[in-house]
Amino acid sequence: MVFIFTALYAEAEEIIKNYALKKLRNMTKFTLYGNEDICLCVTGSGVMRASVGVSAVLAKFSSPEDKVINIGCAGGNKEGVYLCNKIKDNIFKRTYYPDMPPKHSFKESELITEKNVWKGDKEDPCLHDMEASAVYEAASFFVSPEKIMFLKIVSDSNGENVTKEDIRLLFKNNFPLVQDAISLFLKKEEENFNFTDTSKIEEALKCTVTMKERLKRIARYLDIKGSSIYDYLPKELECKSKKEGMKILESLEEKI
Amino acid sequence: MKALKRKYDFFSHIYVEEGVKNHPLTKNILKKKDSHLIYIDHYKDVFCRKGQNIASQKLSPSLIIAKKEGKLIYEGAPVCQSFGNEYFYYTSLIMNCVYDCEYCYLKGMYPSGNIVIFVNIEDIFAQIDNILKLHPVYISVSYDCDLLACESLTGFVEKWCLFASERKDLTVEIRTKSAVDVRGKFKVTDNIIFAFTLSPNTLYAREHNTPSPLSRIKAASFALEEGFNIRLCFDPLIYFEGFKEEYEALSYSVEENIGFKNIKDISLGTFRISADYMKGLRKAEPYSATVQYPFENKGGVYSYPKAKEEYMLKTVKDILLKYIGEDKIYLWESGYE
Ligand code: SF4
Repeated sequence: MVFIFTALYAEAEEIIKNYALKKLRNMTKFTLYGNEDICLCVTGSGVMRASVGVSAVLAKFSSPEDKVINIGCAGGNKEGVYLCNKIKDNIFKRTYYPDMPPKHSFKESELITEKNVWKGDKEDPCLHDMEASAVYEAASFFVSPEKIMFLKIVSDSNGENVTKEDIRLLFKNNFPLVQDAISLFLKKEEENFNFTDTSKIEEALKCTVTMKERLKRIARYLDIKGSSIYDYLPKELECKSKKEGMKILESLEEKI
Repeated sequence: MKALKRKYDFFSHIYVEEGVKNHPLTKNILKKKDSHLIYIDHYKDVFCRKGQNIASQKLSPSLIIAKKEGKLIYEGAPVCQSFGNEYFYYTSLIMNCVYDCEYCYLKGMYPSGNIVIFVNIEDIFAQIDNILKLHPVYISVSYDCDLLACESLTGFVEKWCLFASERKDLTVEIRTKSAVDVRGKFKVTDNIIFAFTLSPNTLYAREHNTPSPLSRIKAASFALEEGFNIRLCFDPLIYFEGFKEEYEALSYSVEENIGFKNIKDISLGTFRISADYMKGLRKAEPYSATVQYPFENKGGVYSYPKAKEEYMLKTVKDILLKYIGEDKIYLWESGYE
């Protein structure tokens, strides 16, 4: 699942429309939009709302395989769409580094998360937003750094008033790039390997906790090798005592 | 077994500590690479982040260029072989490796699969000169990395050869799985030992991105031809079906291509890893039969059960004894009672 967080509905609208995301009611305090692969949350502006939104959603729905994208506007002296490789928090003075995808077609930039709207500085090469550092900090409790991405579209260069309609249009015009970024994270990873369930053998051998661990390790090893623990076990498994079970376990260890 | 072909994509991103951005080696590396550049305060800000996915970073590692600070030289750890040297040290100018052996302890030792290059080799040289005032030094400089494999990027081996050539009380071991042809590249001096780790084919299949066993043997023969001391490392020994036959074939190939009589010595050791590192290694290699083997934990070190370990050591030692004297074989044993 890819979790997308935006500050404003205007930043999310095109995504909701194009991916046919349905409104999911009464799941959290935040309104969510989703389909099979994507869950989108509009958190509201600022680090506090972003932090609460990301934590609330990921705590309830995420697993470590999931991915997180923060998509939104940023101020800056350059134009276009950027993946951010360094997130500086200007409030708590911390810096975060998401792992970057090795192959992509985006420009990259450093991003500074501010408490208030950035007022502009002609010499400044960075982008500025009001949520990214909080998204990173909150998301990193749930997923690893290569599963967090920041996509920012430059909306202004001096904090001038940008209307909701301007943002909606900006995201509409740049939607193909937004889609490219989402695709980077939508790619399916390899299926997990199914390891042999050893619970029946554990029962039959009257395994202690340590014996269970040893048994699981052997089964896992044989699964990976392409054979099965059952090929190495006697047909009659039922043991009267754990001592008997231990004998079978030890002979198993000798055989592999 | 799972399909094991892995694809690599190196250094799409380079992180550079602000403090070393003007170091000549930093500039040199950056000239060679067309990567995204990110400036950082300290390498640990990137290398030591929590929750990194080592398996995925090994496939597309970023490079971190930094300055090594504090202790630059370490005394040898108990799981390392000292080859009879009283003053045995090691140092790491690079953390992590461009190769991807399934069993590599670095996956459990470091919090990251990214590669760190410390550019200030001159500070290490200065510390060695200080120690040399007290006693001779034997130092292994390619322990937590493969220095020779990164030579085209760093030029470190060239520097070590020059440095060692001017200090007769210093012996430098450069361990490698690379197949770099050293001829004409470095100052030849007899206190540099190139230690080539050799593996039979079945094990090589688990040493992803490494050169083939034969090309490593050829590279060792070139180093010998150039006049360097050569050590061969059959370490770690990892058990597989056909173990004996494959080590026989590997030894035969060494005899044919290098000649055991020309080798300084041989190191032999079965797989062992500290229990602390094993946890991370197993997490990074969930589908590796090599790593998921039910090793025994003996005093905080995982290794093969005694009988298997003895079998492996004896088997390979017996094969080698056909070609080379026992005094040239250094064994690492786990210390079973
Ligand atoms: S060559 Fe050595 S350091 Fe490199 S991955 Fe293999 S075992 Fe690790």
